[in-house]
Amino acid sequence: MQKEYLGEFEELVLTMVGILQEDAYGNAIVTEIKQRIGRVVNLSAVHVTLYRLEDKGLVKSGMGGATNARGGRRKRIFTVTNAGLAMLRAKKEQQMQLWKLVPQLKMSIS
Amino acid sequence: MSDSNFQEKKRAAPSKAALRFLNWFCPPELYEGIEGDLLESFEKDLAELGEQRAKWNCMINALRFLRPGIILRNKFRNPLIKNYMLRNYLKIAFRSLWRAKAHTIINVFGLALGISCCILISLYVRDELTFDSFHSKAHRIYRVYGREDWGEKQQFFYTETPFAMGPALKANLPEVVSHVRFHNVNSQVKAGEQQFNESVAIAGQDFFDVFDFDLVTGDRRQALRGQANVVLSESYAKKYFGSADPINKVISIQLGEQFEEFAVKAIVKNVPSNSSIRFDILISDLNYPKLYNEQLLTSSWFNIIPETYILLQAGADPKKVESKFPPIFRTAIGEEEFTKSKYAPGLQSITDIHLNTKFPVAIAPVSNPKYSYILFGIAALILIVACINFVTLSVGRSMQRAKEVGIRKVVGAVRTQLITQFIGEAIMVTLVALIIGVGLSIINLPLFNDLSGKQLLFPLDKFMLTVIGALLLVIGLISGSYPALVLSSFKPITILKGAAQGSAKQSVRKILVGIQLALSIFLISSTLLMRKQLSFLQNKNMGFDKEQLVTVQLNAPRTGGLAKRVAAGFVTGERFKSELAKFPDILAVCTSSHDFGNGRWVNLGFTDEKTVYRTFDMNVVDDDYIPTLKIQVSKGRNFSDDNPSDKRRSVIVNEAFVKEYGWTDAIGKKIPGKKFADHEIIGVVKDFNYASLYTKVQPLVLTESPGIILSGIENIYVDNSPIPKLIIRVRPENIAATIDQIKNVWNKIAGEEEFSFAFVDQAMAKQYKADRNLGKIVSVATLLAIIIGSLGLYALASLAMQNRTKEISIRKVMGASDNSLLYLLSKEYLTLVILCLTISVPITWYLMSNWLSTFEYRVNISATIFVFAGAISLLIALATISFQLLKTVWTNPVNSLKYE
Repeated sequence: MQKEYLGEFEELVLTMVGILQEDAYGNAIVTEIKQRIGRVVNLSAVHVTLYRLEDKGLVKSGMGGATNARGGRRKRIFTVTNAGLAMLRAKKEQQMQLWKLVPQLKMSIS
Repeated sequence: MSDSNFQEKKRAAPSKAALRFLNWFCPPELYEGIEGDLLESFEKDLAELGEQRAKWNCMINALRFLRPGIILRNKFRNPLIKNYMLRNYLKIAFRSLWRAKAHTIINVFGLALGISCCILISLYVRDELTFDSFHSKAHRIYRVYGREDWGEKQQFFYTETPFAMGPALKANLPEVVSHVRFHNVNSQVKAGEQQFNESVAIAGQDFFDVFDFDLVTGDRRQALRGQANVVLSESYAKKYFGSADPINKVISIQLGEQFEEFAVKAIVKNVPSNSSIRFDILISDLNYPKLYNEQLLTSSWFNIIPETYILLQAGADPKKVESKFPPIFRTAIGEEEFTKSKYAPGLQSITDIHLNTKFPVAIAPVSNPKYSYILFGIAALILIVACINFVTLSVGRSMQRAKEVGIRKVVGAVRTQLITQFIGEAIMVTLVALIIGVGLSIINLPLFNDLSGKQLLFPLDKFMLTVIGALLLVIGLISGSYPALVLSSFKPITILKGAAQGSAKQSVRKILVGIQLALSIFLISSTLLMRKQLSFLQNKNMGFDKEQLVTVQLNAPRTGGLAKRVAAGFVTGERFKSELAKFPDILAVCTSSHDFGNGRWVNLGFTDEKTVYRTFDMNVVDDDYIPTLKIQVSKGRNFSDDNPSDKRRSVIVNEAFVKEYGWTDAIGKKIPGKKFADHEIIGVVKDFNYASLYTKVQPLVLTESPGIILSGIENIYVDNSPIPKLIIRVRPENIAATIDQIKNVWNKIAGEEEFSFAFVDQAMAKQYKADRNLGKIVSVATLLAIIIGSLGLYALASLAMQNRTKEISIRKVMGASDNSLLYLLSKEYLTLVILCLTISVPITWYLMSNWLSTFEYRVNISATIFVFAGAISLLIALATISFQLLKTVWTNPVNSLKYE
């Protein structure tokens, strides 16, 4: 089987799903990304990425309970699967390894 | 609380339309989650940014979901598995195509030929069907036609009009925005030192407002709004001025008696090939007074010369406009004439002109839509033959693929998957064929233009892409679906057990091969018949000797009426005759009003003594006409210089004329009309085909003095200029030198006027150009169909033989002789050919007799043609399969049996 690739934005969204846990759905992820790293992302892009992650088996989804807040519409809640978690971990380790290879320059304040 | 909440939401709800749109393209299982998110962010925006911004954001956000990731999600439900199998399918397809290289090449090549035929013919058909529709106002442009009914046999229907027609319609009807009169005159044109014989178009000043001819340079609005303006086509600007800038240069055109100077005001792009209105030199109708008298221009309602086109207001109904005609003409023509003639003009849409053969031909060329249908049919036939190859070969090879199918099924392939796989393979092969086919058609376009007599280009526009796409789908699906169904229906158990399959499919394959054979027999016999008819046209005894006859157009000065000009032409003719008689290579010379192959001769109508309306053709000739053309005089005598009265009162008629009036002896009789001046029939000539063989020989009058005839007629129809021509019979040896001699004489007498000549046999052959081209196209199509068909048959035979190798070997071991085996194997093909012959004979007979009926003089459809065609196709079929047969029969049985 070929290695799955994970894009930068996919990684971001996947991480957010991991952070938000039970409350990971489209809008919440948009807000979270804005709050945490100040990046304004588009709702549709997040949705499409979530579905793609689902196709790759990194997250799974289910419909949550209805509330009054969204005109009675249910939320599609995403949760990270084991494969997703493994993928995140692998990514992080990979990056750490590479980071260690970069000569650590001293930051000087002059 | 819920109430107030509801109220509030109702006041500020997001755009319904955006959500409905989202609902439309979004997969239903995703919709709720997405809509919820949208509503939630809307509520948040409502609180933070206000209603307007919130609504706007919501709408934009909803629209942003319109992306492939969302739309296509429900279309490809299981992309992962699909993709992996796709690679496998492609690999297998390439392998199996590669393994059977010969079959693949036959398939691809056959399909490519068929496709390129289709592409070329679709270009042709499009050109025919889109005639004149390039004008942006085409749906509002109408040509005025005329109808008169004077009772008896005097009904007239024409598409030229009186000069007064256009102005009268424009003046009386608010719906008519503008009118354009258009016709051509033959004239002398001087550009610099040179002088040319040209056809000059004269058109109304609104010409460029009504029609969309593109200008290269010049002002559209002003181009024709000056009496001394002329518009040239690009090619003519080049012809006259080379590469110099032609604008405001001067050319002289002979109008009436003298040359008039015209300044070039605009250059128009060469007229597109699908335009009815054709011109190279165009001047304004302000020049009419120089050519025609006042009465003709304003009040002659029964003299028809130009075509009149009118532009209606947008939205005007032509039927309603027509219904307003009668009062206009009642006043214009006068009550009495109007009632007598039942004058009833009408409107014909410009886009209807080209393919409507019900309307008489005027200036705009009309072509029979039959040719388009025939060509279309031929393209379809070739494509069918190629598709059949594809089907038979794929099904034939199904045994080799059976194991693959079995394994796939066992491993878990669903039938739909197998079907997609095989149809996909078919589409892949078609795609390759398509690329080759497009290449072939680009290469062969000049050849095809030659055959079809058009100047087509190969544009890669929307139309072409549609055609190509349609071909890909149709061929791929049609020829791919049957093999796909057959292959995917195999039962894995039987296949894997090793049982033979596909014997039932033999019959389908036979039917398909039969269709191919029937088509080839049809095409072969049609080709043979057409060739027979065309050579008949070429070689039929016309009643005169058309070989080695040269015609030279004389230019009569444009003084006085037509009769005067004709007479002047004969005077010039006499000068030529005495000069040309000096050359030994010139056998005979005569002067005649009409030559051959250039349209109808002057047609005249009168009411005879029994008040029956009669028509006849007339040619003004001199006494050398009959001997020069070698026409046989069956009774009486030719005109003669010894009888001075011949020049005044003698006429000669043809046998058709005598027959028309039921006379036994015509000599000494008169044409039975009251008003004819004193005259006498002095001779009767055998019928000679002066027109084409499409029509019967009409009653004809030859005379040296047209005045006596013209005095007694009521109607005259002039299609072709009666200005005299020289007809010269030359010796067959060194014709080129003889032509030079004639040219020298011409320069001596006519001075700088352009010398133009034609050979009679060529001019007559030109009349059958459309049918000759059709003949050529059918021949080529036949050849292609035979090639494709026999390639298919060859491949099929090789497969059939492979399957029967063991059987043959056993038969040989048992003592069968080579001959009996050959008979056994070829028997089924023989019966097939005979069966197909019986099917195709009636079809061919019907279609061909239809075609032949357009000729008045034609060959008969004989049985030998069909026998011949059958024999040819049988021979080709046998030759194709004999190689395979012999190979099978001659194989040493040991080789094919030892593995058991």
